[in-house]
Amino acid sequence: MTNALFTEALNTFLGDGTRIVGASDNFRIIFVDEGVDTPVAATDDFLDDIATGARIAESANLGTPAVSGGAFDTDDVTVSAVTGAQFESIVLFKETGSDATSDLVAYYDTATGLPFTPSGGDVTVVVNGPGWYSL
Amino acid sequence: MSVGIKIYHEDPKLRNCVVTVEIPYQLMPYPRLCPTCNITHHRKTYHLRLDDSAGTVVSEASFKQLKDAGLPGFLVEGKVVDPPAATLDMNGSEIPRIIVQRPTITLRDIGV
Repeated sequence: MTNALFTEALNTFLGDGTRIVGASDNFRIIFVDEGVDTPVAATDDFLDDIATGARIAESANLGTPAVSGGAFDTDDVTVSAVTGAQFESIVLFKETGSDATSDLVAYYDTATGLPFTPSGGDVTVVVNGPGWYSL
Repeated sequence: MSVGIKIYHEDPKLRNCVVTVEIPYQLMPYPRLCPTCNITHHRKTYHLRLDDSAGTVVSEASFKQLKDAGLPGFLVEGKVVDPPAATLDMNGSEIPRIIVQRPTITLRDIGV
């Protein structure tokens, strides 16, 4: 797989457009150990589709979410003291407080530094210049 | 206070490079075509980025997996308190896009 939007997120964007609102919802990322569970963009829809054992770390809410020029962007994000096994991918999701309703938005397995073996130190994810995803 | 473990490759010529270590007992749920090395991994495969002294710091959980795999070619230097921060840079990678085929409307002069 390459960097991709989850199909259910696409359906949401093309549907009523209110379930995932870039400028006002809370978004987070998780680091995923694909040796435990591999996200499937075509069929996974909510966070509970990714096994908890595969979630190496979860960020706080991403700062300054904004939609501009057809793209969704946020501040860069630092996840503190990341431990655990190597992770192969990053998943962006809408955080609702419940895994069963937190929409999976986008999957990234291509970035400088991936796959990444945690050292126990902080990990900063530098968001792509154009943003997380775009039209 | 977090702790990592510094390991280094016994071949000091392996500097500033990526060394892969396959975990033989851990099959991937799906074979994974690795964007980094363009190889399909059937088993969990660590990609250890070695610094200019052929070393790297790994978490305790990662160290356990590597140790279970025999830690091939690596020696242990010791624990590192408050390991250095690291960066994952999304720049340069393709961002997911919704591709919309724009309709084309051709206007013809109908002489009105």
